[in-house]
Amino acid sequence: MKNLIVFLLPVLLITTSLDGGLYSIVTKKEDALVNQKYTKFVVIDDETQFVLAKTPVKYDLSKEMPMNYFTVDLTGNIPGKQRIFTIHNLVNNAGGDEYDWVLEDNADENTIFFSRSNFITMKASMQWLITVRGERILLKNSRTGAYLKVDANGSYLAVKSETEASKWKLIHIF
Amino acid sequence: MKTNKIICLLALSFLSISSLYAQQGQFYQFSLDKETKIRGSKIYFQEFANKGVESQIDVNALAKSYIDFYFKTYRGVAAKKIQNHISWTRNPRFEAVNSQAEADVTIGGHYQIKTNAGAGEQLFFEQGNSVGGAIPYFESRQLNTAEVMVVISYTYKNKEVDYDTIFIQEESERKPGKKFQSVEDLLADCESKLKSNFYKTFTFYSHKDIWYKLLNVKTKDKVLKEELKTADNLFESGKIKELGNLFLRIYQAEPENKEAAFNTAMCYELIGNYPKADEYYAIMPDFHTKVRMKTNRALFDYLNNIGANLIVEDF
Repeated sequence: MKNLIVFLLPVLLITTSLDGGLYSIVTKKEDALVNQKYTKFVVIDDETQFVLAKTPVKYDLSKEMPMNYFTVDLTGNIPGKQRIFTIHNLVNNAGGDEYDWVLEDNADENTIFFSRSNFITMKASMQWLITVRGERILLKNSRTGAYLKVDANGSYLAVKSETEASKWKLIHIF
Repeated sequence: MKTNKIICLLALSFLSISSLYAQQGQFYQFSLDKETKIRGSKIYFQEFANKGVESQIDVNALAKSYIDFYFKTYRGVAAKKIQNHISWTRNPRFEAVNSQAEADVTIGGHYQIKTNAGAGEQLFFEQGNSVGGAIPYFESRQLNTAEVMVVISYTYKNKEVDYDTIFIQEESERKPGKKFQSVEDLLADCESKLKSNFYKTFTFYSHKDIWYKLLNVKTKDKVLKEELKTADNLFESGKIKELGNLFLRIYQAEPENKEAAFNTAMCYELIGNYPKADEYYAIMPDFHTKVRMKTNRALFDYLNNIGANLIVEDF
């Protein structure tokens, strides 16, 4: 009996510690495409308080903010390697826009913006690496290696150094 | 063809004859829903003290309007149904007095209104996949709340005190696709719930429509027989006491006339004199009247027990 308790105690402790947290921030592709079930986030730049969106808006708690969700390209999810994410802007279907808008670092135009995924030929330009820095994250494009920054005017910039990059805060929305 | 005509005529004549005897009408029947904390007939309302912040809800005005239920007499459409009917519903059963010294019971107490508009964040990390580092995220809650608490005290003449408590809490959390209510909206919801709570607290009896049908009464007495021809008119014009008096005289003249006793009992029931009604119903027992009288007596006896001022009439 004592042995059983000793064996079960760590299991109980682990399961209780799992309460209240997401297993993963990632939305499965089939959930997004078929079930329209997303793990939604409002992504805010710590410094400027701009929210990641097709057109960035200032974060306002009293209003409904633009939301995003993350998917992972399975080919990029190699065990032990960093995950490669695609950042989708969650479009309100009631507005009539049903396209898949993703964040792209367009090296040809040297700008970062949300564009329709089916028009992007260079898939790596819409793939992002997430670097964790404490309670914030940095978004680094997997093709260009540039970090995402949003300036004081709400324009997206591609910057080379981590210090210049925007530190993003994720707020999970139910 | 001729046979059909005769059958039709017979049916019509039968209907017209039976309708002559169909003395029936719709009246209210009152019943006790729950017990009240009122004792005695004199009530003094002492304004509730505000122990919280000022708000859009005028708790005292609301309480006063619902306490007025105790002093209610029936008017308008309701009065038509009880015209010359239950005497103690045509008069106030309780009286509002101007000071605590005169009162049998003082209704007072206090209330507290609280509102809160708040937001909070909590840090989490991904649990399942730490490839490249578990990603941090926050969960944010924005919650507006409004609550109203009213403690109603009933102070009796012997200084004993009893209480009723009303507690209403409304909250709204910001969620996508769901209306996020402001504190003012939540307070408005609280106000509407407070009204229904005051109603439930202070109301202890209700009424419903009941059809009353008198029995066909015959008499050998020529004078009374002539008088009986006016029974229809008396019933329709709501002269229940005169009608009851007529049936009572028939019964007194012919003690074997159970129908007259039954109608006397029904008239007593209609004017709200239940002890007398019970006495005459006992002469010709009927299951339906027994059930109805049980409900009638429950409220009547209860009102008497708590000391309400009941004016009971006789023929």
